[in-house]
Amino acid sequence: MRFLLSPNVFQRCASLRGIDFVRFKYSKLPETMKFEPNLGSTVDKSEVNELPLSKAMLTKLEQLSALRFQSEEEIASVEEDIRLAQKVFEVKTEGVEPLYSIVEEVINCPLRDDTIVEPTSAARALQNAPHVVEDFIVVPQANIPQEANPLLEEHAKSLKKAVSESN
Amino acid sequence: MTVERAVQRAISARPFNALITETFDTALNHESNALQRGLKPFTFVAKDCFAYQGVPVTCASKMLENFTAPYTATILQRLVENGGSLLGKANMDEFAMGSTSTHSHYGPVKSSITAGNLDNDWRIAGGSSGGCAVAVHSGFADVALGTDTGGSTRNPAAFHGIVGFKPSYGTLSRYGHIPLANSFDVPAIFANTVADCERFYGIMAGVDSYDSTSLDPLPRPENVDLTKLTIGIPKQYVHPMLSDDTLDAWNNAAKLLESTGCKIVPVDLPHTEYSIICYHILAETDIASNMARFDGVSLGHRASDDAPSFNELLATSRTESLNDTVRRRIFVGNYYNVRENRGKYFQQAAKVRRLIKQDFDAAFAQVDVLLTPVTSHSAPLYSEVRAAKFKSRQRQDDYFTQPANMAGLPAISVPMGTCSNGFPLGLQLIGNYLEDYRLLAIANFLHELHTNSA
Repeated sequence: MRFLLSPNVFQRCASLRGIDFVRFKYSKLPETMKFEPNLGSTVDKSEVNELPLSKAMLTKLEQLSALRFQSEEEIASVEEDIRLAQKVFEVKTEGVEPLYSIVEEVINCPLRDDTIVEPTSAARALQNAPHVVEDFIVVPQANIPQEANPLLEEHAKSLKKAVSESN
Repeated sequence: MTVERAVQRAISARPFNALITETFDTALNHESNALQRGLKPFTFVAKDCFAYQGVPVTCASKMLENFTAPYTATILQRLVENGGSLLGKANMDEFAMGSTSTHSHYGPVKSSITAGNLDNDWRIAGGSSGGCAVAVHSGFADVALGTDTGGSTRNPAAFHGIVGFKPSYGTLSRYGHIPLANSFDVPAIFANTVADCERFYGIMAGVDSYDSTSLDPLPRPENVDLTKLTIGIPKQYVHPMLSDDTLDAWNNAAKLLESTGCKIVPVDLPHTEYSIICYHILAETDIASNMARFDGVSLGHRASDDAPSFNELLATSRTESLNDTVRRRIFVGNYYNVRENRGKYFQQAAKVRRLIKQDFDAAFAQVDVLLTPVTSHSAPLYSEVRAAKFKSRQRQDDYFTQPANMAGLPAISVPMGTCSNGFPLGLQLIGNYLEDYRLLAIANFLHELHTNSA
């Protein structure tokens, strides 16, 4: 929902020759103009093609994040953030250059000379590693993906159930 | 103040839980070194996301409970070399994600503005640099070094009635700072006066060869005629969530400035309502990447070693040592950037960021500085915030502060009296990029005007 106010309210704010510079008082607004600050999109969850997240996508997110979802609430939280993010697409941005970093407008990534300033020892580099044997970090076998998360299977089942019940 | 005095006060202030690590012995060493070199020592604390060699740096997370910094952040080094005595590492929201300083592995920061018993309820300290604000407010730090990515220094400063200064992006080196969102993060300064902020900023600011995004601010302007300024009031910051007290403070500040001869002018920042969502998309993208280094293998919390595979070990170590806010942001940040989404979220957000910056550029063509609220009202109680569910609160609290981070602008929270319940209020001045010293001069002017009018 856009933060809409009638033009004359803005004019009251804008007439800054008077005593009050900010004469807009929320409590004095007529009921028809009151609303909750909505920082999200008016888009409903069902209108967002990407939602709800499929089991495959949730699994992919777990693997990319090296995390595991712990509860239904967590999944819902993530989906809510994604729903709120749709608001960004309301802005017309054709022909606009993306801005990645403010300093890029001023300086262009200076480089240091390639000279050794301060050598690092293995001891210092490894001082915070939890499990080290003779300067090697010890890990279990790699290249095996995370085990399937039973929560995601339950979640997929309950979604299917909800869909078939509403049909 | 002397370290001895500061330590006494820090010990009395322990109930506020402002510090994760106390470094009293280090502070005494710093003080005696400074005196030997003929410097006047001062005490400071640093938010626990800055590295000081040999001292734990935890980001208030179980993940870094046992992590000792192997080197020292450049700006901490500069402070110490100029008389600074490091008293401790300040408590914060975990990995700087939050605006209340309650989501910490080491327990919440309780604001030192709270009257009475702290056991069951307390005023929140704001965040994420709440511990820093309490250290200055409760009187054991002459200055505190926090960070400000979306308002994390200005917000707690306003709640505590002290000055919170977020410099222009890049003017304080981020070497030794554990990053949250690299293109927004700025080390920031808490102090009792604007003059102090300027003094400590001067010690720390400027290019650092270890931070390729660092640059110098513009030099101090020669003669700023503070009675001929044009002050901008952004229309979009007149928001329903503002309390009457904050509106009154804002009005009064504008009238004070006008009474000296300044012009007050409305300005239009049309993309303000998109700033928070834009910030979330860009920041969460960075977060997903920045948090990947916390694997429990090369550093950090490692789950017990009977994991069947490397990937299982990572997932367990991370899931059990990162809090729910952090985990959610990593998931969402990764979602925005999966191949299926073809970069659309990040690209769109980066373009909206350009539009937000252009809004500010247009405004600064008309005005010298912007005057806005910092928070919607004074510090709420923990019980109120918990009832409202932390999540929605986080989004609302950043509304007035976050846009300055989008454009890298210098911004400062100046104390402006109290609300009708007697708790501090602050107002924000936003300046143009790299005009930090100019902004500080204007902030000092406003603060003096306010103090003299009371």
